[in-house]
Amino acid sequence: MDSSNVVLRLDKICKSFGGLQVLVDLDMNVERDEMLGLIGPNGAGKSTVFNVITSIYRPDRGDIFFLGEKITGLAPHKVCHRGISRTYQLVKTFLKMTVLENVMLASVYGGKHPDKGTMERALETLELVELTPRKDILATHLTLSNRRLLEIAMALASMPVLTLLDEPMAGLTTVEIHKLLEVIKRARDERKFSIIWIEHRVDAILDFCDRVVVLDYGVKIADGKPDEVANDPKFIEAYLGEPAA
Amino acid sequence: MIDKIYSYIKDKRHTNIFFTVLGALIFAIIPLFTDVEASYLIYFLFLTFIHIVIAQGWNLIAGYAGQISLGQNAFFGLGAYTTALIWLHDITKTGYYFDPVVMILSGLAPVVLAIIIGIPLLSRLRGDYFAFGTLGIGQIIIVVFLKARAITGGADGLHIPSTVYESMMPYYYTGLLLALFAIAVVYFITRSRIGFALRAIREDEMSAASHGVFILKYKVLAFAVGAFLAGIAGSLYAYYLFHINPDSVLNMNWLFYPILMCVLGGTGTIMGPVIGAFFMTAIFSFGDVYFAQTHPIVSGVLIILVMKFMPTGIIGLKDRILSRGK
Repeated sequence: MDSSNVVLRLDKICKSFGGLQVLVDLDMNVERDEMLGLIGPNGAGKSTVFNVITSIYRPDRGDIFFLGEKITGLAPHKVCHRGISRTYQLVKTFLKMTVLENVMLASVYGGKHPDKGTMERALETLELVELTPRKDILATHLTLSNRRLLEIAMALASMPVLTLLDEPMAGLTTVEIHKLLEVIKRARDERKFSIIWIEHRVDAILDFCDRVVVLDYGVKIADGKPDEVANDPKFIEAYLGEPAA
Repeated sequence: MIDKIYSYIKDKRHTNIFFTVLGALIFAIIPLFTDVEASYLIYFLFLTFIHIVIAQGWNLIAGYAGQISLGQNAFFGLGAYTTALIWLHDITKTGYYFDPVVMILSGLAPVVLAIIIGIPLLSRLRGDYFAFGTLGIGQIIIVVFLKARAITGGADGLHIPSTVYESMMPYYYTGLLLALFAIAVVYFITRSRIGFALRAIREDEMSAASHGVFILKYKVLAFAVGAFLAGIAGSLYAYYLFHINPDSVLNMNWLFYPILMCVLGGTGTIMGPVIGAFFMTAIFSFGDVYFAQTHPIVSGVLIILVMKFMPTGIIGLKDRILSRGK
């Protein structure tokens, strides 16, 4: 693998809560402009990976490198300034702010950009997720799917190098999922950036991602192209149980 | 012309500015029509202005940044003591009586305390735990001021020369200016990009941080500005009392009344604390006159009723009435 192309590298990350070992010696790479799917059964440690990357948790052991620099233990806002943005599994938009204010916050504080152009960037990002007609209403009045889109817009407004999406499709209808996928696809075409995508819907990940990593009880059990992973016996075992002898 | 003015006022951004300027003008001319030295009204307004200043400070840290601080009485008392100490020890070699240098220094002393205490408290404690942590500041200061008898005069406190008193006039106008200053400071901070960060922190600290907001910096900033406002209010009150002791300036009332005023008026709004301050001071004053013996009971019941039926404060009442019509 060409190492200069690697944006994010996790090096033997361990994390435990009390006696529960959530991540065990996790190694993981994300390449430039890559869409990486992160899947695994409930409690596999997927969200913990995100919380470790964005420095909400500090790993017990191991290091995280972003664009060649160590970012382990950096304050969360500094991780964001370096170029990593994220969404949350339980949507965390600012409900008492308008849609535009939400995106403005991310655009103003999200990166080391000049003060000029924050408004343009916010409006442009809203256009990208098709929320422009709703820009002046409070986030609390949005539907769940629009709030998810808003959170994606907030993640993109800081012009990230890498975006972490935590189950953006959970709780959405088929039509809404279709729209969300379209938005993500278009955003990726327009602005080049990498994505790590956690999703419960394995089919979507296998269709959509360049590469897939499978976690089970904090251990990486598979890493490769979607069709390779889909046929990996370990992956099938983690999801469907051991084959009947 | 009148149409133009009317549409200017109708613009939501200008309504607050308009009413503040109008209110300031009315209050500026009131002394021309009253007997300043004898009038209870002037004293009532002076007290209201002081409370507005403290309440706006609390409004910034608690209303906008969502950090319930219970340290306003400590900052108020420290401001009052700073004024008295600078004067008695002849430190700045300036005029002392209504001296802007002394008043600013009396605001800065609490700022230093707020930063020293705020960084550890705000980085480690959240919600109720932060509130109780700040409650400790007042308790510590009271004990320190009682024990450091050589400097602070212990329980008896400090006496500054009261012979300089000539008229109530400078108290009234300084109070009015400080109240306007406090409103302006909070208004412009909350309209700036700092206000954005504070509101985001109030709603969700973790999310704000992951969108690039340095939460500790903005929380400490709001805490320090709140302390500054309480400090200069304390300085003005010291000039009025001439006798500063823990009982008078570190009293818990300097903590709870401004909070009550914010909550009654509407926290997290620019005009809420102002309306709350007038309302509360009026209730207490009337209570004092008409129900001298039972006034705390009557005032207490009134506060409970307001909280029960107007949880969003007096400011929130407007929206509720307007939305009822729809």
